[in-house]
Amino acid sequence: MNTTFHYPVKLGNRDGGPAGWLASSGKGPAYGSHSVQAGGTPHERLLGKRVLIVEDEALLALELQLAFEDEGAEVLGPALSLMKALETVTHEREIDVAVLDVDLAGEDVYPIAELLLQRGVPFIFHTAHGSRNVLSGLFPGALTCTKPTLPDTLIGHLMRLAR
Amino acid sequence: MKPSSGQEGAASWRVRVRRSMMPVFAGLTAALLALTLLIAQTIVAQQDARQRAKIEGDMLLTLHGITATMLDAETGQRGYLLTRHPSYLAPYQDARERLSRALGRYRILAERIDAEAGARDFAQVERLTSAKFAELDQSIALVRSGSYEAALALVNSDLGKQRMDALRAEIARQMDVRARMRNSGFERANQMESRLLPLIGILGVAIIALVIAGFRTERSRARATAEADQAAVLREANDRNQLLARELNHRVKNLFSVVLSIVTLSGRKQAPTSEIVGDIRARIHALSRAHSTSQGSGEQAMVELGPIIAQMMQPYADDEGKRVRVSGAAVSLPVRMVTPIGLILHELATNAAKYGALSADEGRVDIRWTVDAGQDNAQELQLTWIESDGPKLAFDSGAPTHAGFGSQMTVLAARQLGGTFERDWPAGGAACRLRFPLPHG
Repeated sequence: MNTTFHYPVKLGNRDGGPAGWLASSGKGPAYGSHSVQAGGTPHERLLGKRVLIVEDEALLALELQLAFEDEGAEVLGPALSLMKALETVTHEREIDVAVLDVDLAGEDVYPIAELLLQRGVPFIFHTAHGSRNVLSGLFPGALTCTKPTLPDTLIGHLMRLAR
Repeated sequence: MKPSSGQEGAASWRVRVRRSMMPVFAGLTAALLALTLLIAQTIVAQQDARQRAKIEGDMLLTLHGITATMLDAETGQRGYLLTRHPSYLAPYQDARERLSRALGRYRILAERIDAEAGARDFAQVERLTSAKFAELDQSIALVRSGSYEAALALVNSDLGKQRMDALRAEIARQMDVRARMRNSGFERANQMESRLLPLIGILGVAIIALVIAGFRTERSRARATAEADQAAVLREANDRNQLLARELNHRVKNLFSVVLSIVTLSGRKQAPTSEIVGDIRARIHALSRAHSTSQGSGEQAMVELGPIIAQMMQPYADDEGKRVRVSGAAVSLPVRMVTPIGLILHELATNAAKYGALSADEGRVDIRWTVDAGQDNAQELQLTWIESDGPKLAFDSGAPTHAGFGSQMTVLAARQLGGTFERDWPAGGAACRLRFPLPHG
């Protein structure tokens, strides 16, 4: 009963993809106010990027929009339903990167992911489900972040992925 | 779900019953058929015996009748001899007729029993009765023709008597034989009957046994069906439970997201120097991390400690896994302990990141725990958090001057666990010990 187990705390263990920005700071996640400040020095990690947000939870969608806009992004949407998302994707010619909530009030976001894949637009799945297996089965290689993920983390990923 | 030993026992009993029933059924059915056959045979044999006995009886009567007829004939003759009245010849003629009918009947009966012996017996009787009648006819003819003296002489010559005696003797012999045959026939019939009754008794028992076996099989089959139905219902309930658990997990994660969003959005217009929003978001996020490892468990569920700590320290991970070490025994805790433990770890980690080992690249954190026997037969968990190679602290000994909300919360959380929390600041870095009892079972 008292055999000792080791539980590794290594990068790349959880939450999809290497978090390069973490290693560089070494100070853990930045909950700090810089990403929350209005009127402070804007960061430019997403400067000029057109970012599509598909998320059915309005508050979260708003938080992401403000966070991305703080980094200089131009936010498309946010689309709060599958229908809205289809409209947005059809109308917008230029999309650089997207954040896709998997469960949109009972509907799956997969048709949007298919469309973006066809158009060569990179995206991140943002989901509360633990069902990575399904996602990696349908969209192998796609990045998945589990809710709740800090907007900062998402920004880090988007920065790397964006066209 | 693994069956309990009771269920296993019931299952194997069912199998045993089912297996042993087949030969029992087969045996009973064979026994029933054999018995039925035997009974049929016995009845037939019995009927046969009785039939024969009856025939023997008829033969006795016929022989008796023949004797009576002969006597009548003799009486007629004697009467006619004495009185010379033709009226005495009427019974004589009558007797003659009766005799021929009786002989005919006797022949049929005798040959039915045994063709050869019967024919012989009949031939004997016929010969002797004919001989006697010949003598009677002769004497009567003599009287008719007027030779009375000759007729008397014939009667006195004992010829008639001899022939009658011979006939009587033969008839007596045959009657004796017939009587014996008749008796033995009835005896055989009775034997058969006495054999029949126990056979019917056994048949009755066999039928009852068959009916009981049928009932038992039916009942065990009904029970098997009921158990199968129950198992199906349980499986369904299990599947539904798992589905509900997943749904619950989804909702909880979504809720955490929403709460964090609210905090963030609410704090957007705050003064830039306020760290409160960051602190709040940090704590909430830590809680969500802590609970993410207890996916979909009910209130009574247990979660493992190791994965929780590892998950909480994941934001501070490095490539090689050397920065943060997490090791200890495999311990399971009730889900209600996840929140206080999560909050304590978050405080320790945040402090380490701000002032301690995690604020520098070379800093190390070593988290260990053990389970020991504590007071009152309960087990006690002891968790130590030791920082090393961090920046030199401004205060080498003694506690830092500010005991903020974080430390208060840590002490209270420890109390919620029913235990204690101590913190030291030796030269190498912060060292903390959390102790609390593990619930029984």
